[in-house]
Amino acid sequence: MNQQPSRRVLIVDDEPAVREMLAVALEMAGLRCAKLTAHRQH
Amino acid sequence: MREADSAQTALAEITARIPDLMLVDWMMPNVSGLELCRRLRRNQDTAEIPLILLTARGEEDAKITGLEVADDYITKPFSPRELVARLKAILRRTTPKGIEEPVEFDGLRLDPVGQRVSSQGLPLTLSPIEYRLLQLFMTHPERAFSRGQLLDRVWGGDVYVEERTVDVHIRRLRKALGGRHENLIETVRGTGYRFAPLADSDFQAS
Repeated sequence: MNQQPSRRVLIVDDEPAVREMLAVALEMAGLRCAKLTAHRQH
Repeated sequence: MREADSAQTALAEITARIPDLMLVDWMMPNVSGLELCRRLRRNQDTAEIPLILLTARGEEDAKITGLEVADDYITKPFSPRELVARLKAILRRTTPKGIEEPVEFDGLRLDPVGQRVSSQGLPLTLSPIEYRLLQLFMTHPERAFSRGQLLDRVWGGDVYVEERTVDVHIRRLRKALGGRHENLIETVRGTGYRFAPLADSDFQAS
C-alpha cells in the first residue's frame, strides 16, 4: 500500500563542483536532492 | 537550482519546502552557513531539520562551535561514501514514530511495518495517497500543513499536481476513516489541514 517518496536532502553550498558531487552521491544512494546557493552581492 | 540573495530569502525558500535533512557549507557569502543553521534552529518550522555542516575548518574550536548548532560536522575534503553513511545514520535517528513503529489514537491504528490501518480493530481500505496523508498527519499531530507542503511530503516534489487535488483526497480520507475519526482532520482556514486529536484522549506510539 505504502510507497514512500525517498527522503529529500537540501544542499546549501556555493561551490558548483561540491554541489554536483554531493548530488550525484546522494542520488546514487536513493535520496532526492535540491540545491540552494547564495547569490553573490557585488 | 534555487538562489537566495539573503538569509531571509534562504529561510523562505527552505520553509516553503521543508527538506528531510540539510547539508550546509559553513563558508557562504553574505551570511555564513553557521549563522544560517542558527536561524533555522530559532524558527519553529525549521528547528527540527537535521543539519550537517560542511567545512574546510578542521580545528577543534570550530568543530565544537559547529556541533553546538548542527547534528554533524564534516571536514573537506571528505569521502562521499562516508558522508552518505553519516547522513543515513542521522536520518535513521530522526525518523519519527509512525515511520517504523505503529501509532494509535482512540482506536485508529496505523502500522507502517504491515502497512495496515484499522479502526477499533477493523481494517480500513485506503489508497496509497490516503495512507501517506494519514501517516503524515498521525506522525505530526496538531501541526498545520499547507496544501503545498502536503503535495511535497505526500506526492513528492517532482510531481505536478494541482493543490485542489489535495482537497479531493482529504475528503476521501475522511470518508474512509468513518464517523468516529473523520473529524480528526481539521480544515485550517487559509492554510490547509491539521490532524487534531482530542485533548483528553490518549495519543501514543506503541
